[in-house]
Amino acid sequence: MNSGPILITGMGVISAAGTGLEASLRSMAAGERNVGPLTLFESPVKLPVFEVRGLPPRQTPGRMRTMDLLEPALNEALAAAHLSSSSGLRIGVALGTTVACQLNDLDFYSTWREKHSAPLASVDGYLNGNLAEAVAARLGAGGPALVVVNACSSGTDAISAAMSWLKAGLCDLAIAGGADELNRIPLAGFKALGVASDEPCAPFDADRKGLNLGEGAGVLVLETAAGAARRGVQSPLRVCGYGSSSDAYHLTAPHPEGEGLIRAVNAALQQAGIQPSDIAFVNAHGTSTPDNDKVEGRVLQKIFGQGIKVLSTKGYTGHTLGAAGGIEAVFTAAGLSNGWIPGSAGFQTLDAEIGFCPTLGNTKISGHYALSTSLAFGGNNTALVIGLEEPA
Amino acid sequence: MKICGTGTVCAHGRGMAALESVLTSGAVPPSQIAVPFRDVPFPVYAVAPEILKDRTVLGEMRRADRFSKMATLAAYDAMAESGATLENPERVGIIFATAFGPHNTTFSFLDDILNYGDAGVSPTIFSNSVHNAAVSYISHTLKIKGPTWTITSFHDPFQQALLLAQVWLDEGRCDQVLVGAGDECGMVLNYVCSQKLAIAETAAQMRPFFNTAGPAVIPGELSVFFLLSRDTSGGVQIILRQKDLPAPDLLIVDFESRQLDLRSAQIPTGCWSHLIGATPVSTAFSCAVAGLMLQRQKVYCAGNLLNGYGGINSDFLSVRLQRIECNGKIGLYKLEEAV
Repeated sequence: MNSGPILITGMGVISAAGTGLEASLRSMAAGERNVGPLTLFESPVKLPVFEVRGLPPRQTPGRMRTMDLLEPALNEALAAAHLSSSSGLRIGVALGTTVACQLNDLDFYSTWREKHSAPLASVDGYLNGNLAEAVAARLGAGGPALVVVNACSSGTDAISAAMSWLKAGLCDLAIAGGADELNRIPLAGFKALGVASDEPCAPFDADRKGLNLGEGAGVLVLETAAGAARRGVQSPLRVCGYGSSSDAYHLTAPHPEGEGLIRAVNAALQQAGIQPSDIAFVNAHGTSTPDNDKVEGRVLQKIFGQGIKVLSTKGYTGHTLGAAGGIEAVFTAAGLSNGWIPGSAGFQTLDAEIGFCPTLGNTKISGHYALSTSLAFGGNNTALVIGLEEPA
Repeated sequence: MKICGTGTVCAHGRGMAALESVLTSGAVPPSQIAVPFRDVPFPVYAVAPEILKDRTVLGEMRRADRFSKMATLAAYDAMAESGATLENPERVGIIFATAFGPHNTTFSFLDDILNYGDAGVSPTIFSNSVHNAAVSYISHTLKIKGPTWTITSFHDPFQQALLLAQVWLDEGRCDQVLVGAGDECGMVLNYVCSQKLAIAETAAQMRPFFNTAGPAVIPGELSVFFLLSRDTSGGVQIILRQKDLPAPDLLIVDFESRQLDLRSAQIPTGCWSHLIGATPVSTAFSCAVAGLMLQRQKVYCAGNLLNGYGGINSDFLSVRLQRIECNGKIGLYKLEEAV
């Protein structure tokens, strides 16, 4: 086992907050919320969404939009890590998603239902659209490759898989994160579940009404310190700890006392070898649903106390499902690295049941560790500790 | 990793006794179902509905789909066969590998959209259509509270699951991991298979190694789970990295001529796809067969003996089995002592 640190040597991100990390940070610093009506496809479900605007026209017919979203984030991360497509390294690929793992093309299915025959272009797009297999093929990877489909914690879990592979010596370098597209299925599904809001989301706010869906991708390049040194690459950012647990409680609702989330956070802190007081801020799952924010808010307060700085970047991106963990890991790392985090967009009124206010505006950060949490359908709870190397 | 327990839900039945029985009898015919896209019946190795009516295990899963029920029964049986009691449920993990997930439930959701509109869909069907619903049911049924993951891949998803389980056990994240794989058949996927694969027209069963004009495929469905632990003191072990280990006594390939390499000419090679059909998670079944053979010290008839690639013959049946390799990458070893 490799006991050294796992460095983040490249990051890339795309969401409604912007294309690329710098553009996203500028947008969030200015408090911009690019939420609006759905334009990507027709739907009678009229809910505000966080769409990614201005993606280049699709080059490959039938290709899933998720792949189109993943590509710019991947390219940004590879460039930041000074990696070419033919590095000769044994690369592992772990990516999370929800939509891209389903054969859910409504046009294909409705045609098949009517005629018992249908063109297979969208099926081909699906079969060629396994994110990890596609990225591995592009990079000539050679390490392990898998897509994590743990619903909304998929991106965070994928990062942990890459971290574990590197520690076990199964690859020289790993691509990790998540990607997901806005799609008719989850839009209708979340509406039916009664957890989608018809107003812009307001994480941790007393009057929050639910989530807004978003889309995007967040990608990290991870490598061991020794591996990075061999490539002549340095980075002060690292992935330090991960915890995961199951509530074993309910298919869609979190455990009311957040018992599983507490275990996940404690496991992540333990692996990182730090105390709660070492955490500078928490980038919370913060979906803006009544249940999630109440449970998560109480747990964070219980573990970290009243003074902890908390934000949810979903106020800028919407809930990007399988991409959320990847996107939020990128924003968490950027917050540590840059020494500031944006205000938790959408918050106005303290919820007495939660008992704390998230960040109200751009907030200065000093510290060497931050936490990103994810909760998911199925009772999954995950926590990821990201670190910033202390100056020698 | 030691195999502490195995659970199987396949076309021939549920559990290791059913598996041993069909391995001994040597064959199971596929179901022949009527399909709207061709005039002749379509062969499928399908799990019989009565297998999924276990009220003891599935009593709280009335709303679950058959994909989740298949997975939960296999996971339950793996745990039961191990005799393990859950003293520390936080230290047990689950990794479930699938290629297509609960696609029939996804299509049911699309039916809802087409029939009732986007605003009239069922939240229950939506909840069950996510890939990790099955694992959620398993964790709830077995009260497992460690990391519970679902992964997907079209190529070797079960092998990726095993690799992750090994890492979790090695880094001390879990003491035991329930590792499984499952996929289901369905009418739409049958149609896709009919367009993309050489589906057997009239064959009564898949006949591995038999076809000279190329493989003829019959789709299948299954769910297989193993409870794995770090105990390396004996029993049947799964070892993934086997560079420096001796050659196996037997190779198992998933179906048809996949994975056959030059070694196949020298090493007896078996294939049991005529019991389950073709699925992207066949390797899990191959591992279950291998584990049983190592336990019993018995090679079951592989169905078709003449294959031109060194298939199992009667002389081999007396060989002492110690090492079996599945899908070219997964080694199963019966240990007298730690390897």
